[in-house]
Amino acid sequence: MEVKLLTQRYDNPESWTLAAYEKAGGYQVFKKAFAMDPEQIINVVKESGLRGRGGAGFPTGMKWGFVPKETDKPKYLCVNADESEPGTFKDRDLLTKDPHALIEGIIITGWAVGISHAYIYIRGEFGVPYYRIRDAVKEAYEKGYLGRDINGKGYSLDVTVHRGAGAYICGEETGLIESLEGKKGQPRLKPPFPAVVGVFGCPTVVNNVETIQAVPWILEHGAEAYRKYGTEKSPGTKLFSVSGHVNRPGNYEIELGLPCKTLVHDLCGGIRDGKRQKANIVGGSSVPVLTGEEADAVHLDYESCVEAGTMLGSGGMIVMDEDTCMVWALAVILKFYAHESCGQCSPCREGTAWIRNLVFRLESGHGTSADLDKLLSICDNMMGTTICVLSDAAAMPTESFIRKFRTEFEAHVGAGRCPIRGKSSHFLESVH
Amino acid sequence: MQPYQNPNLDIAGRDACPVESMGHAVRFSDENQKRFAELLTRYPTKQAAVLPTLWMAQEEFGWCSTEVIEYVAELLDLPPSHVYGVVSFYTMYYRRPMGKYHIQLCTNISCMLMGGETILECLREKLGIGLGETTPDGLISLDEVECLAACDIAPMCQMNDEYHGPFTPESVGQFVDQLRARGK
Amino acid sequence: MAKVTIQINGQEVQAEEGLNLIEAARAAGVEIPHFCYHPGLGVDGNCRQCLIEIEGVSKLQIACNSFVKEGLAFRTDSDRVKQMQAGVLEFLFLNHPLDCPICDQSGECLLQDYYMSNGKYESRLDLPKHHKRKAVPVGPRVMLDAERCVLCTRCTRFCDQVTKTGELRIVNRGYRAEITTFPGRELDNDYSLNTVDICPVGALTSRDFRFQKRVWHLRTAKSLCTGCARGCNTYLEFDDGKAYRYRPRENMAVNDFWMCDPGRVTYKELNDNRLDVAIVEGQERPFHEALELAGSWINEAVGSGKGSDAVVLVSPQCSTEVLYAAKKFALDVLGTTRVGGGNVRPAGVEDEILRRADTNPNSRGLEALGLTRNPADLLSDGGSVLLIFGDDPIGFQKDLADGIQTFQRVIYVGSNENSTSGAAGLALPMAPHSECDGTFVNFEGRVQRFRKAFTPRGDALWGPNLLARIAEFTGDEFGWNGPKDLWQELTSNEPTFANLEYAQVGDEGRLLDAGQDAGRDAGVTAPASGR
Repeated sequence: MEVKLLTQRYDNPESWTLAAYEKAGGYQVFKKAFAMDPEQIINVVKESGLRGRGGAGFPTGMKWGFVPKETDKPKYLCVNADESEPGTFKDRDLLTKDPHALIEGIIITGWAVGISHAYIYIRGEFGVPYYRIRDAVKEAYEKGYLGRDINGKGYSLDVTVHRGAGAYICGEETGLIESLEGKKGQPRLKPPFPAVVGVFGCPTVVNNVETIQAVPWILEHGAEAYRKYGTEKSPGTKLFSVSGHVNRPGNYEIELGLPCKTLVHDLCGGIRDGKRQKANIVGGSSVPVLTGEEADAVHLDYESCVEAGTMLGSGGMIVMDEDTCMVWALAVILKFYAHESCGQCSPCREGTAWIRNLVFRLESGHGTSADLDKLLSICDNMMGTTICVLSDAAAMPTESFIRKFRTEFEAHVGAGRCPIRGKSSHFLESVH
Repeated sequence: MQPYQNPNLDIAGRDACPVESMGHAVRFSDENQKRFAELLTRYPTKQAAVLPTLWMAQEEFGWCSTEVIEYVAELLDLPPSHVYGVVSFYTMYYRRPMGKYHIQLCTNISCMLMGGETILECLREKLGIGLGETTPDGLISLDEVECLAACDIAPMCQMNDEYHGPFTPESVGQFVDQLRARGK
Repeated sequence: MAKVTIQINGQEVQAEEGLNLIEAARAAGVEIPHFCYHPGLGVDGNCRQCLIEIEGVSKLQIACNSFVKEGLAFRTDSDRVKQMQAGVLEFLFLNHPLDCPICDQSGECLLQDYYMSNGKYESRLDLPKHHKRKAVPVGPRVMLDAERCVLCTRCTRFCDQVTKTGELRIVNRGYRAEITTFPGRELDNDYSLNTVDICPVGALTSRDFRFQKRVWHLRTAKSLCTGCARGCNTYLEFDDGKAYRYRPRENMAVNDFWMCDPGRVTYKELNDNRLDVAIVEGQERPFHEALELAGSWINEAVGSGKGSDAVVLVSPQCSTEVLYAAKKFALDVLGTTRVGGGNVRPAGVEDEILRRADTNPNSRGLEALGLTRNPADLLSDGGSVLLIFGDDPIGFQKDLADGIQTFQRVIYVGSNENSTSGAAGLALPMAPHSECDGTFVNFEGRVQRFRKAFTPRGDALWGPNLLARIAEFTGDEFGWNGPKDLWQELTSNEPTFANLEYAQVGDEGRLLDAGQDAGRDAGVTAPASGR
């Protein structure tokens, strides 16, 4: 069921203000952290088993540990608030409802890693979340929680809120870094990794909002307390954004390892109009789709999802009912990746548009059954051949949609139109 | 049966990335000059201020014309082509004048599952314009947009910096009426 | 750098530690296909064409961003690599117009080459192609066809890193990405044509060269640019006695991979306005008659005891060999020490990349032969016969005309018609550097060779031979058995050039005062600068 660690203050009146945050006990943990050795803090985070909540699930403490200790360069923290994975809207609420918890998390992370300047890279489309975090940073500066010599500890930390301007790829950590440097957000070659050569050529930690926001709780209650939640390898809680054909879409903070069935059918009130769950994309549109049956069997932790042939991703769960045309759904998803490919690597730049066009044609009923194998082969050439994983993110759903719902694709070929919706989706012609 | 149409056809023959001209040079207001100077103190390089400076410029001048791009490039000691590349890469910098209200309807998966396609049709009909167009009175511009991280209120749209949703065919009509009233 | 042992396709080879695997493989004779990597522009990693399989690494890696270390083993020939290389090519061809029959890059296009070596898949493109702009004059010298572009960013990186002018940019995202300039601005820097060289496909073509010649008809000679004292190494490309273009030839000690646009057009002097017949008093005359006339004028001057007042005006435009022969002709045949010359041209543009203010290719050669003299001083006392070698002193410095007119007889020896050839009583055609072997000494004192591309046009002769033919009428023993023979004599007679055998000069050139270490900073030679 729901476990409110990060979302515990959501319902407090004016929860986004410094006063409300302090009233709820906020800005106390960083003082405790300041009494600790930075290395100790990194160890606590390592022991907690906290993993990156942006999608990749990389162990956070380990990521911090990669930053060189001995360096004469400044170290930077980039908070990834570019939440853009389709189906994901958890960071939006964290920023809107509890921005000071993010700031406290930044202060603790900053102390632990030796950060001199943190940039909160927030997607350009966010209006209210942007104003909230911007105002919160201002409040924190005024209160002396940010700036020079915080709490008389001789530690100085600046925080700048930096707005993106509309590009999914800036959620990829090196795309974010490039964008922050005032360029197109095209991901960088790795190595070197950001921990060594990141933004402005300096060691950089890039962490998702939810990841950073979990840090104060972990420091306050200890690694062991955090590990009481979740599974052995996926400890703690995770925010899931559930959307699509459920009765109660929204954000849910749950223990990792919760059965997906519980989330969909209990917390979210099941499928609307009592229909059957045909498919579920559990971790944002980039991960392989599960059938309704597979989804009902999976547990929501990193390992169980991989075992089930998908990924936990960002926790953006998209639920589809029995009336959904899977060819159409894939067409909509592929429209997105072709629109968002940064255009740098040949397989992604050309491949995302190619598979999109092939699926558009299939959706319109003008495809051929040979297109299906062609699509699978193109996807094969798109996977693992590019700088970042956007190419894979387009190929993985395509491959899984065709594999799991092949008969539906073939039915379109046979019928010469969409046999489920009865019409072809002419909006797909007006691709932006 | 509708014949398959190449989705690329609509952009064939266009400029690589059209940017309109305002026909006159631009210059930040005194207040924005001050804001700009402060902005530069937040970054170790001038180039890093490209995105925020463009935001400020768009706020003050309405959109990013060739003159705005040249001005921002000059302020930041960059070739104008660099700023042009940036403007072309991101979807939120406008390269043409926009209506007072900019409706961007999400057509990503969750919104489409919840009937976004119908909402788009309603908007087109109600406004009498297509995607990428502005009503003749200059009040409302319509665009589609990818996931805005608000799938819990699908189908939804962004209107300037506000999020609105979930829409039904009826409520989206009322929404347009309200905008028209607001714009008077 | 230390040499270590690596394995390429199962073969053990020695490779320089830290070298990227494209270069390491190339050194071992294995070509790894690639578009975006260029040794002069560094690693970008966007084209993904150079994917290879490194032992112990599960994902395929790009060779351009993988580096030699001891024990590294990789394959370029496994099925997986071959599939991905063909797959990447297929992506690049997806929206390519396949207009090779009307494309100037045809024959030197990496898409064509790699399709034959690594592609050869069955076409499975049955969707309409995405169209982009074609035949866009992106600058005064460069034409863009965006549909042919593979978006490797070599050109944009060149304008960012080398000229630092940043005119070119890729705009838009994804499949709509396209090379362009800022609206209303042009690609108009002094090095813009290098973007054409490094463009691996037919996206950027030279407006000067396009539609002039199919490249497979062109032959190539290693040559030098004569536009300034840098002496950029070039390939001179020609067919049937006509020069069509210069391309820069890699020389890390001189010009890296580049050359400037103004230098590049100097090939036109090799074709246009040529002095390729003998002209006497404005009239074309049979060559032997003109030589005889020249001989008689010299005999007249020398025979009447006025030999010592003859003057030989040479130019830093002449090759070292011509200068040496002219010097010897003055001393031995004319019996005069009034021989020398200097710059008559206005200063050119100097920049921090390649261009030098001295627009002569051989000022240092002139100096090394002890021939540097002020032309006005040399001409000041007049005399019986004046021999002018090369350049156009009257055209560049009007006041030199007065000095020249004080001579009774003026013989001009040069390759192009100009004010000076017109003012001379006798003009004799000399082969330019496209039509003979020879050397120039660049501003750093680097002796560099140029090679004969084709036989001299019309009646033109290699300068030293021309003098030998005149000497036939004066009864002097004068002449050499070709440039190598002359060079041997020159190196034994001129101390500055001592011990500089042709073999030592090589393709990279050699500093005059370099001793044994010279030339070691010369880079590895790539097959062509476009690669």
